[in-house]
Amino acid sequence: MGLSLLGAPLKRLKKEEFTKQFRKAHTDLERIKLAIREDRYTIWTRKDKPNFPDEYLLPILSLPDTYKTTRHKRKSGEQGLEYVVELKYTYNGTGRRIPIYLKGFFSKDGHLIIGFEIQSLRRDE
Amino acid sequence: MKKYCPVCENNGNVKEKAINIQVGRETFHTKTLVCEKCGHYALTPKVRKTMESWGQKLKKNIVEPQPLFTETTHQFLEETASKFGIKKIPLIKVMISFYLNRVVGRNDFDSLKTAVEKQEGFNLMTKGKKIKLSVPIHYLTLKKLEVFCQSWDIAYAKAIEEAVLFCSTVLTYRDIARLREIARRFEEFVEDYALAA
Repeated sequence: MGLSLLGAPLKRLKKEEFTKQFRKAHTDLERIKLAIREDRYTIWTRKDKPNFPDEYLLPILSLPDTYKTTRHKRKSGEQGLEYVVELKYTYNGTGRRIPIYLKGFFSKDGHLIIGFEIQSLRRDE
Repeated sequence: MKKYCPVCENNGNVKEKAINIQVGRETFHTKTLVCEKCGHYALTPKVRKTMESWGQKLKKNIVEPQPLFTETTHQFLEETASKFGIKKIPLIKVMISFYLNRVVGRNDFDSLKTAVEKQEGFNLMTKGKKIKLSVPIHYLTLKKLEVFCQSWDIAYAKAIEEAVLFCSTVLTYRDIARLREIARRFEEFVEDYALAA
């Protein structure tokens, strides 16, 4: 089996199996890691104010599952779980410690969880 | 069903539209979800995969930064390239690749960089009049270079200068065990490239 850029298997879990594993996870960080590993994340970005590329997601995979994340209620709460998850960590892949701020929520298709929608992936100011 | 924008959370403004993503001198065209209100668009797994495959298939170089090197460095690069049986530009590309993939991610990168910058060889290669050189860059290298330059807030050309000076200095200085080991690995890296080329 080949691997994609971030090491995700090219043959992804089906939505049902992904949802099953998502529900088994104990922490939001475990759920984010699952979405990254399974290449089930979407980065929302803008031309004039782009988010960082997915390379900056890599350190998340080696954070301990109990690493602190914060939940906030979403404004609309539609098309996904009703909360956003925030995570602050450090990217160190280029010899310089870059503090990173990640914010996103888990999207749904009916009762199935289908991925992680990333609203912010940027330098934590 | 109306689509939501996950960023501005406004209803009904998200539509599938054609977008252009600038990558160096090239433009990647695709269709994806775009919020007409806030301008955010979705880099979905499918879009990323298509873009990756598009970039890897590009035959041409997509940026051509122009780093500045002293005559001493130019001469050193010519000589080293000829020693490995390759040309100067491919040697510089190998240096960039080695630096970004094998050096900058090391835990001791800071102290390594400082050790290199203290060497006489480094001083010799940085002093004097500098001459521009065009270095054509391919998609995969550009992606690595972009992340590095973003982290350090520097231009592509500056990062290339850094990579070249680092690799050139370790090749000329063998008294520190760590630098000697890096020089050995770099030589293996170039030899592998030269064999494949």
